[in-house]
Amino acid sequence: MKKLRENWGSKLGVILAVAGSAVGLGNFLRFPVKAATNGGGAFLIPYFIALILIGIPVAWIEWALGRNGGKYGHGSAPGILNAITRKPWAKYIGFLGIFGPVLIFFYYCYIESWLLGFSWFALTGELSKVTAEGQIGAFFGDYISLKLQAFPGMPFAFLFFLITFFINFIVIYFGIRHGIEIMNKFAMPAIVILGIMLLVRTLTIPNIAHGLGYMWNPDFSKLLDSKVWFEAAGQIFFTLSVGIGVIMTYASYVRRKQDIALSSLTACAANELAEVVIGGTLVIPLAVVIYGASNVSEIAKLGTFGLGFQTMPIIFGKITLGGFFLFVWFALLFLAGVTSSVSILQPAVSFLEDDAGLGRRVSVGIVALVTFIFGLLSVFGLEAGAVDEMDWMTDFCLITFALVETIIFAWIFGIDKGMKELSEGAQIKIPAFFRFVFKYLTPACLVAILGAWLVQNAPSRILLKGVKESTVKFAGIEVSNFIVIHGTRLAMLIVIIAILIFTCVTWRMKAIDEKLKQFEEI
Amino acid sequence: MQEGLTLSGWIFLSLAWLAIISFNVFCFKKLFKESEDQMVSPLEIESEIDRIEEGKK
Repeated sequence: MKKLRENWGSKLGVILAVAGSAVGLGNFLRFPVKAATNGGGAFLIPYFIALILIGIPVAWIEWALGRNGGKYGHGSAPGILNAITRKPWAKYIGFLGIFGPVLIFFYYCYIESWLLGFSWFALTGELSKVTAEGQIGAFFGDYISLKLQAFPGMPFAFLFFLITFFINFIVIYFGIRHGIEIMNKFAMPAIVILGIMLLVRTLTIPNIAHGLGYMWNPDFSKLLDSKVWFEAAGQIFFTLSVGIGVIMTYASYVRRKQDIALSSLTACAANELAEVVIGGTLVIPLAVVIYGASNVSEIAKLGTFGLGFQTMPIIFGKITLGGFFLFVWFALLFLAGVTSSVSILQPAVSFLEDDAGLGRRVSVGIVALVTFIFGLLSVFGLEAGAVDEMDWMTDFCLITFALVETIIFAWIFGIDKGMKELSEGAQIKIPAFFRFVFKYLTPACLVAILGAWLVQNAPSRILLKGVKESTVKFAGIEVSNFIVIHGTRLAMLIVIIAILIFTCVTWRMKAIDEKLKQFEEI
Repeated sequence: MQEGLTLSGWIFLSLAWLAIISFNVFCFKKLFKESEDQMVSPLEIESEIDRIEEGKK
């Protein structure tokens, strides 16, 4: 009996979906800060080199592995890697392609819901009001610590979390073609339109050249610092959403001889448009015009959240029609967030549908239940550091999985078969030098990034250096932040073990099924 | 700290925008030029949706 599996309705659909997965908060908040603090215009040199040596190759690899795995009816990393390598261990390594995205969703959905909430407050004028009163920092703090109540017993943050969670799962429930594809066909053009509106408004502000100068004037001396090259590589890596397993899953729904080479390139191009052209022109140039160049480095230290939720409202409060553009800003970020969050749910759903053989309703239900429970950890444990724990674990999973994919593609599947798979149906010719890039350069770069991460970040993260014990509120109960942090680590370990056991059981059940079929045939 | 966009700043900004916009134009132009006879054959693993739509035709 042939297995029933969806396909994308059109090539544009899958491209917009992959681009939607890639375009997120990082394009508009992380990139400008990274560029401005790492050499300005000169940052684009290592950035574009990393795009060619890491970003585009790893994206191509994921598309190729995904479409190949999809031929065998697999839509997630365990099944895809197992089918491609024919090695029993591959499906267990594939857990990274499910755990990584699911882990991201645990906290990403909550952060995305802040954007919905702040869009609402911008629309109602509340945000402009608190900004004018100089209370935006306190407002943001009260919002995320659940002190702002929509009605008694229901904090705004939790209400918007529920709405955002529901939106994500409604889209997922309707599937690849009628859910994800349709959503992206509306959301991605909307993101471009909102982005252009903000771009035009920014470029028409007096003295914006000063802001653009801060962002784009090159400081070539920074190129002598290896940290800048690692930052560029890291930015490319995270901006293209490679190493999560999402592209692999999305590509598994691509038809067999449909082009993936040009599709992958197009999705990367769309992401770069959002990042460099739009993202590179908004936040930092605006901050320079409003605050002055000397204050921007202090502003950058506030981090992504501070920049997005506190600094930008103040900036928009000082320009004409600021209230309207504040709404446009948060709406843009929310749409960018939801196109990404929906994508990171799909690998787990595909795993349950394709490999565990569960129906869509049951698969979506299981993923919804698990992500809701662990999502509550983000909602109530944010202050205690739960989200920070998930965040560093995510970084590790992404880099490691990208390295695994690259090695499997180039060395186990084989570079000849890999290039053949990539070229099948291709509308562009992959330059021959990419054989060398796939086999040697990309893995080497990824090993360097992973090594740098392990040396620079891992010890301090694992040993909680600089984190002092304090009492925090978790769902209204006062606890030590260390309990929440270690609890989060335990929760992540439980999820990993559950995925591995489920993978083992699923494959054993499949093996039993096959033996029974053979027995029946006899 | 330098103020305003210097010549090299203008060059980097312009080149980056030009490169990325050209990259997008190239990709989307090629994408939309795909001809009907390049549409692919059905998957070995069939989609129920495709079968239903073919039945409707």
